[in-house]
Amino acid sequence: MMRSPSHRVAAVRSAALMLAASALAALALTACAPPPPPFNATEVKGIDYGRGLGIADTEGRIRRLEDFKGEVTLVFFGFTRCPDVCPTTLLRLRQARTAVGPDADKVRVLLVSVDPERDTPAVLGAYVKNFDPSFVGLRPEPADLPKVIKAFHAIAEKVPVGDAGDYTVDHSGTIYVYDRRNRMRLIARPDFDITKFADDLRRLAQEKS
Amino acid sequence: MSFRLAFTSLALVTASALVLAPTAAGQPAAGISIENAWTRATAPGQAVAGGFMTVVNATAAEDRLMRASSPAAKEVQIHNTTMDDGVMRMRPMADGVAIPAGGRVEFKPRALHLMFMGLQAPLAAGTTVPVTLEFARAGKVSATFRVDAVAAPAAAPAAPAKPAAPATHDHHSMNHEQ
Repeated sequence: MMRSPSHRVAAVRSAALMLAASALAALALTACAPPPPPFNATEVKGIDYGRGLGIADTEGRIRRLEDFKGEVTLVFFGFTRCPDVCPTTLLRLRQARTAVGPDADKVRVLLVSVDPERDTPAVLGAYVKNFDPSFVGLRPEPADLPKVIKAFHAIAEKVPVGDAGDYTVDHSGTIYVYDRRNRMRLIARPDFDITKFADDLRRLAQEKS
Repeated sequence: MSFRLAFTSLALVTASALVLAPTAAGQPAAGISIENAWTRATAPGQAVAGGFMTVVNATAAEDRLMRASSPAAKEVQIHNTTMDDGVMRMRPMADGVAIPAGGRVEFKPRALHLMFMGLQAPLAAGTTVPVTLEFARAGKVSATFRVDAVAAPAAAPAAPAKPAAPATHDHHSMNHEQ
């Protein structure tokens, strides 16, 4: 039995609809390949904090971000007379770095002193190496400190404590994470979750440099 | 030189952490007792160290930690650390710290802590630091602070009672905020 023309049109239409639907489904599966899962820390793009800056390490060599090309580089501000947050953070950074696993040696931690007047190179060097021999202490000249702080849009303020002219330094707790191509990719708070932060660092360490 | 020192002390520290038993550091005095008092090993030349503990007040009256002192440091201050808008601040607690009746107050990293200022010598892991705490009501209470290894990976679980162990207790922390 022959179909009436209207029937035929309907059949063609529904076939076309089905085709279109399956094409759309296929498109959804292929064209929209699943995006990489987000990092745990806050992702940033196009931020060039610290670029071109040269700061002396505890051996007196001027170090620049570019010197650490090929390494996932973490920059953190602190000082050796910070008895609580800085040691806690450095210890946790060590734990996160260790948790990265076989690629841990591609992760570098730089501590920039916000108290260069009291953090002599010897004191700062011993301090960071006490946490991890791979950590590097950077000590801006006191006159350069404001410039360094500004380059990271950070804060460091001396605050008097007690009466003997002693002071502490309020400072930014942010950890700036650069990938192996020196691009700032993540910012983390010092209360990061060690395991999740290690996952982030491992991912960056496995990217091409 | 300092490099080698750091390595050597690291090894010593790790070894001593293994034999370090989590001892009860406090001696109860007039209803105030100190639990799990600890500090961290320091590097040569490091002038300060943080002290952490739990103060337990078994009495029916509020007490107040007013002062602290130790032969290991020129001065021991009572501090609090806060973090607002990504800025870390540390402030002396000028009026001391209230210990509620029947309550306990934790002194832990990134919060209330003692600050040993002007260390007479580096604190070596496996040793202890005597501290005298002075309370408004209970008077002087002595406590023994254990010196934990800085870099021992087991630093956190070394003392099961340690409430502030960062490695095992921060799984719920968020790190999406800036």
